[in-house]
Amino acid sequence: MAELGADMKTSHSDGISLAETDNIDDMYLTFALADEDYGVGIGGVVEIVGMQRIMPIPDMPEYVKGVINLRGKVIPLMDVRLRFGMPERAYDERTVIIVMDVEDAPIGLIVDAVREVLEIPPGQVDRPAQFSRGGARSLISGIGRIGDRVAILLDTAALVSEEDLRLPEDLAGVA
Amino acid sequence: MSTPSPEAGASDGGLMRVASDKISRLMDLVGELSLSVAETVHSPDLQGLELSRFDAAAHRLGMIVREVQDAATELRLVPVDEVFRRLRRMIRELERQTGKRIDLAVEGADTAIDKLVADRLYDPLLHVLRNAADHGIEPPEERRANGKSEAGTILLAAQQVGSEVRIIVADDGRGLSREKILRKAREKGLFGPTEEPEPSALWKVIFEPGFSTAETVSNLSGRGVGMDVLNATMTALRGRIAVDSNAGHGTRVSLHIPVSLAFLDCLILRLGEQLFAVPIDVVSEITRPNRGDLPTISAQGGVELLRLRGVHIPVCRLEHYYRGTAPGTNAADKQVFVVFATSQGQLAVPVDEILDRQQVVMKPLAGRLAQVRASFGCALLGTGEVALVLDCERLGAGGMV
Repeated sequence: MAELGADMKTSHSDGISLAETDNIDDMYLTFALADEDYGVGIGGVVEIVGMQRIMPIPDMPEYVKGVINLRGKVIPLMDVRLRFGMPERAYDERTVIIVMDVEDAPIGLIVDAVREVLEIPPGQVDRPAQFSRGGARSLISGIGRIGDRVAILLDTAALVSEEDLRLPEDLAGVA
Repeated sequence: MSTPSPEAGASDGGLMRVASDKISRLMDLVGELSLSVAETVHSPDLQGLELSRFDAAAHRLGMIVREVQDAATELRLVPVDEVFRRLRRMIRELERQTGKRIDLAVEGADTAIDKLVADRLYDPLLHVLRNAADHGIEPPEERRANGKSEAGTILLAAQQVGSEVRIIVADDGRGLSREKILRKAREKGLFGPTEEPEPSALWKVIFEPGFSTAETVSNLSGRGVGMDVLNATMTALRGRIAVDSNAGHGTRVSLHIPVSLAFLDCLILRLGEQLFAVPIDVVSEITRPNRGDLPTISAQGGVELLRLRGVHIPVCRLEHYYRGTAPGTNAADKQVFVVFATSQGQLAVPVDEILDRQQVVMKPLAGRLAQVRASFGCALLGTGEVALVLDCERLGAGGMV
């Protein structure tokens, strides 16, 4: 499986030469949600695929749209807009699925569009402490400065774990 | 061809050692092969074409793939004796630890079972065995006083029944105490204060996580943790457990496990947009009832029943059981009811239609998907679609699990 992942990555890395960069930890794949730019560490990205037929799966939160069958692998899809409580938007030809491996489980992130792969060294990443709200784990690992733009860097493990959501749900007494 | 190869003439009957990951790789490829073949044969491009020779060839191809699948599945089958042998060694150890005399009887040790299943069976079986030795079998004096032979007997047996292997651990010890277990189960709210559950339903509660504690159910002490392991393993292996006990005469635990984990013969059901798969051997009947055959019981929260030849079968609507499932698109009187045989009796599940019967490739529910209830995993269909494989046992147990 590890081999397979590596193969996929190279096949989708047009214009991205991973070999030339010194530190893969500083590489981020950036994508758009409405007019904000977000980034995820490239290390967890397996591949990027276009939108395809989604099979619904029950017992999932609203933002998990279902699963796709990607060459024999079943991958759950998270609509990141819904995950962040942003308004839903119809999928179009720019909508893509970023397939990632997060804590050894596959997850596909549905985003408006992919932007680019950027190197953002730690010196250009702000890590404000106040993001963690009331002890809950923040989804944001930092804010990357790229020239005069910023990319919001996501903690994918937190994104998948829904730890930040669990508390209010418990309080509401959701069965 | 004329001269036998040296391997075939060898005294070990031409056995070959193969790394198990190579076989796993082969199984994966065979799975992908069968999916690709189905995808090709069902290609929408072929729709509406008259292809008699293609159809004949496709049919043949399908048969061959099926045979390759069976042959590959067989590669991974090992005799259950691999596990039994290790357990047999433990008996001497258990005798030493408990100071009891135990004879182990083994039956059906040559029953074939998936190597992946065999590898996971040892720990849970050891727990069952240890409990039988610890708590089932009485000390020699007590056995003599009760007119039994001084040495207790534990039977370890395996048997293939259809696509299932049944592994039985039976002791001739003192049996489970209905009184103590029932008291404890009522304390835990598993049964009402006046409810008198069937024995098979009552014994099952000993598998509830953390059910037994040494203080209250003395002859079950230590089962708490061990039974949890058993439960978790059985769920992972798509198996189920049955317990039978007779006070004074012993306890019998049987594990029902599918022979192979790789492929599953399934019926594919559609409800609205959602596809479900059910293992074919739990489907007992398919019916389209008349409106009058679907009474509801208001006193039970409006629970629906299906009347089938005078028998009333509870109805489980998937759109009620699962969160986020849309009700079917068919009018109520057009729905098809699939009747499942579960260990707690029959269960009728209405769906829009039955699509197909297929050998599906199972994928476990990993990561985010682990929270889906009453499911063994995802089934990849020949069409590239994904169906949820229903675990009818847990579906039958209702929303409490």
